[in-house]
Amino acid sequence: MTFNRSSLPQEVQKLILAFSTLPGIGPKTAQRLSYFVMSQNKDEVMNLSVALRDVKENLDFCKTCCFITSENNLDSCKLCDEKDPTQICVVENVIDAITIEMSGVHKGGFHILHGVISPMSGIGPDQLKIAHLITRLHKGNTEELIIATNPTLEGEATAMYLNKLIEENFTNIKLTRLARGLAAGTDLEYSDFSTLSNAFENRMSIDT
Amino acid sequence: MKQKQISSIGLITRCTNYKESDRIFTLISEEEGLMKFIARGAKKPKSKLSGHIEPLNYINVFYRKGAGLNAVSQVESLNSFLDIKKNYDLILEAQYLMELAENLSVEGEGNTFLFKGLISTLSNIASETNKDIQVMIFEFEILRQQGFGIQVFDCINCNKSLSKSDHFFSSFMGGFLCDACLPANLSGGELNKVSISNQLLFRNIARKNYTSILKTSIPEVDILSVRKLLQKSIRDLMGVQLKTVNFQL
Repeated sequence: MTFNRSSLPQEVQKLILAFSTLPGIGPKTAQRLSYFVMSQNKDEVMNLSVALRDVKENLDFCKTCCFITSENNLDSCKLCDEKDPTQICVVENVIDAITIEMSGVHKGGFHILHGVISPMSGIGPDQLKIAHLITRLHKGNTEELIIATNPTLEGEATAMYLNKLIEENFTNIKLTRLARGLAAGTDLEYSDFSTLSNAFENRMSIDT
Repeated sequence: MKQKQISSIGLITRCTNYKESDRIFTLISEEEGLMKFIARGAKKPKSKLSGHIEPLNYINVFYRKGAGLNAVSQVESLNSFLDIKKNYDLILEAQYLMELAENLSVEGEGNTFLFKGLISTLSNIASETNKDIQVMIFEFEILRQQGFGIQVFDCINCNKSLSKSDHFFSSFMGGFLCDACLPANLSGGELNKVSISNQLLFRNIARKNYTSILKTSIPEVDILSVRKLLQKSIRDLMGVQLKTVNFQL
């Protein structure tokens, strides 16, 4: 009888299968991770297991900005506390919000969409936290909405959709978009047409 | 021995992030059909590849063939379809066209007709006023090229010439049924009543009478109903289920 993966104990097979569902993890890497987990001591493995369980059991989305927060603090999270309520920065995901927050450049609140409009992946506006954003804008005293989606095709489509939606529903909210153009340290020679076009459209006068 | 660097020209249809800073993308090329690439470090801000690797970019890619994914060494943008990228409706349309082309493309087998049709339709929807007509022409021609040409002059069942009146269209059978053949709706699929003016639109597309179609002002309702029939035909005749259709019309 030949030995293959199905000859392994059920527990190991289940762990390999579970690891291979993670992004960027193929069957070989999943196998390697599984053997690593088996070689760790019990406490380390239990810590990992408890951390994974807690993420799903104790966390939910903040009712204000849709950031991740613990279940006993759903109305306002750490990202909403002591923020200028008149400015909201709309981002694609939690990581983008953390990056902006850590930079300290934005003093207002956030709104996390949890994705972008991507028809080719079957994701439309209804699957994002857009309806939640509209409700929030109706309730609050927002003066400016900063759209900070990534400058990708899907990010741009989402920004355009939001722009249309906000303009139709709110006349008193200023809508802005993060500046796009050449990044520091890049070469003009290697710039793509989209970046160059944006850089020229958004060119600035030189202040001395 | 280091592998030889080769190049291909094509349109990027899909991109996904991989690991810390890599990007995997799908390209449709004229000679090789569907191709998959990995661009290492493309997500880094200072990468020379970053902005070029985006869906809807028509590029010249230099790469080394790999066992799985081809490894990109250099990319040159040829057309970024900027006019499409500035319009939400056009982005949705372009995504529909790319998904359709992706579904009809095969790895390692080029389809010049499909590729040229896709690129020219994308160029046309960005510059011409009636994008729906441009897309319909592409859909009709693709159905014909794939061997599912829609029969618009004669009855799909008895092959007799269709009279000048409203007729029912069957997306399963790929054409119109005359009144006598209506009970013979063999496929049992849904039938859609089509007006004489909409039948004329079908006929003009079949005759490749494009200038006449583009000059005539056709009500939007008519255009949309013909587009729906073409999309149903693509689904029913070719068995192509497109996710982007749900975001169309």
